[in-house]
Amino acid sequence: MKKYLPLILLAIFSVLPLLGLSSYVMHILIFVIMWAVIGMAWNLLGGYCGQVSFGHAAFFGIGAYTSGILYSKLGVSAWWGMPLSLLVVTASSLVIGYIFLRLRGPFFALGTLAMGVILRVTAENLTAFTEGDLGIMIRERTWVEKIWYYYIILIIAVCTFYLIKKVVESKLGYYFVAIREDQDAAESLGINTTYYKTVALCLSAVITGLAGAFYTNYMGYIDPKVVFALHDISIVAIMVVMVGGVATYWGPLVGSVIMVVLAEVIRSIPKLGTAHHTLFGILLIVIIIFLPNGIVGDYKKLKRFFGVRRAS
Amino acid sequence: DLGKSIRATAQDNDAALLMGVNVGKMRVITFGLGSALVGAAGCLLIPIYYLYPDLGGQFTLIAFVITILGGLGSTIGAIIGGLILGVFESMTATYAGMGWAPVGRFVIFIAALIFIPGGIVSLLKRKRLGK
Repeated sequence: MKKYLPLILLAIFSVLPLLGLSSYVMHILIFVIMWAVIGMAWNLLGGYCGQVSFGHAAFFGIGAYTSGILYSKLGVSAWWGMPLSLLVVTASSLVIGYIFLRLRGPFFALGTLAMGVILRVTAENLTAFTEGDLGIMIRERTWVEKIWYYYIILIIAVCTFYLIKKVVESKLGYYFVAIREDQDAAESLGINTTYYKTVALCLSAVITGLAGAFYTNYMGYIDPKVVFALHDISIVAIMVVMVGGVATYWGPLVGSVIMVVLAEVIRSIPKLGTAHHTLFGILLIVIIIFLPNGIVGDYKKLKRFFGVRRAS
Repeated sequence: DLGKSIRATAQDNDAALLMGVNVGKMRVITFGLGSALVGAAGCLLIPIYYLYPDLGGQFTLIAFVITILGGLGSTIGAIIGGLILGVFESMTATYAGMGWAPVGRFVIFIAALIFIPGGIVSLLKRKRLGK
């Protein structure tokens, strides 16, 4: 049963849009899967390799803007941005990795945080290139129905999941965990830590950039405050993993379901008004305090808790 | 005595606990003192700035930058760091354009992280020791 769980989930997810769901539900499903992809990407760098990044919005934004600039400046379909974003994000993540991966622990987090802000302000100011705060609008939508977008992001998610599973189970994954546990010890055992950290950053960045390029095509509009947002992209990427479970395969998926669906559910409670942000924040704090390893990581604890409640 | 206990807590949590320092209390005192100072600074800011609920966010980042630039755990460093940051930011705003000012701020931050990880205070200390 457990062995076939991924296939069963995949079957459920691929049948879901055929049920004739409304476009609102489809939108939420697409966002759940997109956040799961970004969460998985962050999990590879932050969860397995231990390099906590507060700047994943930078890669997301670079991917999104690769697509957008390709459309607005060269007049090519924005879908070409997805393969091209692989190259652009790899190149930029190599540069960023070269600068920032010499920092450790909290300093790496602060450095990436600053990098995200620098890229946002740069995108706002290079008006000749990125249209600045006006943003880039994709005027021709490829499809009106959301079902095709859903399948595209689903394929990306499946590939990402498979890739990360393969990487983590290979020798590379063990190197990553060794670097996370003790960088000096890993280095003294002959692991080229800088090289493997760069590999982890590159993989993580490329997946995030791909999600960014998808975002441009799906939403049809990007501006620096949206795609380079610290609170809405970088922090949410971390929250998705923290809520779901750090360094677990299924954590990001569970986390993104919680982050997106729970936020929508709370938003739909009548008479709450804008206080839904407050309620959602409190719920997140409760989850993080009582389930420090995330929902997947503390699954046993959760089960025990509910089992005890049912018995009494 | 209070300061020594706070520094001991910062250096080694467990050792401080074994030496009879009330670690939890020290943390609460430090956090409270820091928050109170920031609150006082906020009151001083209000006559020259406009007020809205998101106001705090931008200053949190600047505070990070100044502390790293000056050197963690040093008051003099924070003052010098703040001065350098302010001047550098204004220069960027003047010569590169108003919108680029945050870039200047964070570039100097990253430069400080990479080239002088101990902050400006570590440079001063090195000079005093004659190295």
